[in-house]
Amino acid sequence: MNEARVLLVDDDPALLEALPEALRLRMSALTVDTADSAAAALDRIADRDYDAVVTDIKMPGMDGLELLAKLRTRRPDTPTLMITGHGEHDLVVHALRAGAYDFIQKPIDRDYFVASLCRAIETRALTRRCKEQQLALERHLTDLEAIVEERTRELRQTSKVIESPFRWMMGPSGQMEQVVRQIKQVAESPLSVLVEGETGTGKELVARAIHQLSARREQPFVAVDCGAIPDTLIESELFGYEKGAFTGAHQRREGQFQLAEGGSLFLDEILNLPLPTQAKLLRALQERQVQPLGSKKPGRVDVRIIAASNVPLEQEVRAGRFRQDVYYRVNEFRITLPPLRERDDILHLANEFLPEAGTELGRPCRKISEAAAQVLLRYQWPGNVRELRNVIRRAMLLASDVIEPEHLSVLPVDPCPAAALRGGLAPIDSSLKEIADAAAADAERQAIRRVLQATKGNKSEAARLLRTDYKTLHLKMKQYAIPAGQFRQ
Amino acid sequence: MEDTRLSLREIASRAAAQAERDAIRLALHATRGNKSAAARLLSTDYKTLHLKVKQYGIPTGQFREY
Repeated sequence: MNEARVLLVDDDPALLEALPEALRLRMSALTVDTADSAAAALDRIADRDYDAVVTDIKMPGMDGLELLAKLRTRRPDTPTLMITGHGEHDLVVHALRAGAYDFIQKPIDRDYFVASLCRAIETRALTRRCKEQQLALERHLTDLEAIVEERTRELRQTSKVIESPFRWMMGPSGQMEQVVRQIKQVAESPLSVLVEGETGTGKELVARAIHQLSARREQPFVAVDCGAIPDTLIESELFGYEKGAFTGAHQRREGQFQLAEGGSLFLDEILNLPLPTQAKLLRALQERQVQPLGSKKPGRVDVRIIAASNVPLEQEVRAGRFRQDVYYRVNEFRITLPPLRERDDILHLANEFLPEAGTELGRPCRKISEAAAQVLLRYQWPGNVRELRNVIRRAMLLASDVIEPEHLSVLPVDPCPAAALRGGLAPIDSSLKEIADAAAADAERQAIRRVLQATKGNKSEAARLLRTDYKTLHLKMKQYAIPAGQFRQ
Repeated sequence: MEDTRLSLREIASRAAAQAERDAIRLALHATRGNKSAAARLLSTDYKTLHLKVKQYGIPTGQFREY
């Protein structure tokens, strides 16, 4: 034990004289300070943190009990021993209740006194050590928390780079910079956004980026492909329905509007909305209320609308195929995405997709040969970035090391494998299966285009003629980058 | 429109069959009727090629004469 220091308080000079001496004789390494009044004692404890205080109860002026009370508030960890007269039981009980460590009866039994004082000093040392350890632990914890926080911040920074919504939009020349600037501008605002661009230009990516950068980012992002839902179902899909609203409505269902509450609702291919649905959409946009099918009263919704169209919507408004008032509502801010053939970052994007496809298909990252790059640059890309991505993915499967022109077999500027065979060339990398798949895809693409032409872009009718379902047809059109709009005129 | 009487699936499978048949003929021609070599050229196995040759009724003998 380090040198202990105790304070002895008594108004009796004889005791102050005798007791320290007696204590020093019995205890090694002890310093005893004295005070002849409670007031003097308070001055002392203000300067020094004693290991224990011993005080008489009966003193003129401030008595021992009052001193004890002050000690308990100013030095709560310092044990206090009270000296009492014979038979002062009430005072003893009072003192113990008030937080005294022990009491010493006069005449003082010196052995007991020393033993009690030793215990008090030990207790004090233990308390102090505990506190120190606790403090050290807390410091340690704070350090750890700071480290965790910093690591998290670093990680977030890294993943922000990896998952940046702009990664696929930006070429080295910064041609897409304008688009990115617009996204950043509009994200924080409450404006509805209309994203226009050919199929496969990344309209949904733009919508997601806007949502991610907005204050609504923690809320849901709900995407609805208006072209993928038959006209008869679109309203219940968007606005929901009550139980019994129509045959088969066994229970109440929320619509996409309700599911997007607080967040963003992405209406892809908004041109496909039938005119009656457009009227209901208008009400939802104007009054911020939607009425589920079969419901008597409309409910409030707080949803940010991001709409997309693969043809300029204004032109459709003029042709009478899209309501002007809805157009004004969704077109509070417009972002137009350039088609891939007008972009100067085709090769940059192709190289971006290489490692991605490589990871996905479990193949090492490959290169694109100079000749293949020329093919990519010459192609018109009707399916835009999505088509480019699919082409790269496919080429990756066919190529053994470097992507060459013959691996880009889907592109018409390149002879397809079957044609290469017909031309008398030795059969190349394409397997029998790939030849068959390519031919099947080719035939499907042609058949779909032909039927759409005949039905003037009516997909339901086209699906019926091809004896397939609406959803399959829609998916294939997307896959082959066939826009329905061009058959409408 | 002849094809619209076929379903999309039939259109696809017919086109696939036609392309397969053409490719097999060309491969057999190039290998002078050697089915093992033709199968290798088409990255498929002998058994599959043999089945398809039978299925499409391709007479392998005619290629050996060239």
